[in-house]
Amino acid sequence: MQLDEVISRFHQAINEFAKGNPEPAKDIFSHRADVSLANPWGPPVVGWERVSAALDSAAARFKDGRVTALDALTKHVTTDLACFLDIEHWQAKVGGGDKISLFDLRVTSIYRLEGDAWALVHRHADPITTPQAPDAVLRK
Amino acid sequence: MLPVQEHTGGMIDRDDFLAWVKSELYEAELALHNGNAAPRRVLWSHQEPVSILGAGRNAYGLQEVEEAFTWLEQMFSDCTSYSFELQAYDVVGDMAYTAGMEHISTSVNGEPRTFTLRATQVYRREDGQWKAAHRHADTVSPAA
Repeated sequence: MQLDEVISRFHQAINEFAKGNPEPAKDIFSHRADVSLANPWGPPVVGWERVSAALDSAAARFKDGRVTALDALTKHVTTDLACFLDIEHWQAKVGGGDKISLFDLRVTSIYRLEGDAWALVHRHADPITTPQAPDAVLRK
Repeated sequence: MLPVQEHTGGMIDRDDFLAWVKSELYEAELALHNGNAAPRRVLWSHQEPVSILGAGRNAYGLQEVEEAFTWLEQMFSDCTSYSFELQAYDVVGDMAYTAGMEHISTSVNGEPRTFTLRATQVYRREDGQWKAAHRHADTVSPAA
């Protein structure tokens, strides 16, 4: 599958994720031992078992959501490795609440060509949208 | 133990890259947190695209990245400890990335601070030299 198709599939997958379903996103992640995920809050996790579990628990926090827009900032692409920077605009019911919350994520995604398919090998997402001191601790 | 990839990049490439991360890149980051961004300027690409999604602010393009470096070096001083905990990386052809945590004790605007950043960096090999092209960092609370 071409890189563009995988990116497009991932954008559909995060819409499902915002509804509480991690499976389409899990299909796009690499399942290798060096896959890593830095979700908002908490230390990054490494290895498919841990990444898979982290995706399950993250998706379980979301309900009735979607990613309303995605701003592509820049990208670095080579034949076998590609990095994309995006701002994802989310809305979802979070943590069992009934109210739809709006939030934006800064995201770095790194895709690697594994055999004949591109796989998401690293995702780093955080909710920083305004300048702050670099030692500020994230607060929800 | 970090996993070893079987098919991507040569082992020599990977060893050379890691050696660079642990020596030159480490020294440059240490210097930055002592208030000197000059070594970081040398190790960053001078070709577009370059970008920072920083713990403090974003920077897109060479000019904004340079402004961010100046802002950071004026903010930091008296680094008492800096370590990079590498969690994942790969080297494929002329591109590489690292993901991990930076454990930092330094002064921010003159006040001692200890914090941990989650950091992802992307590198390009330009004329045989590794250069950083993208950084994404954010603060993380210690695991409960």
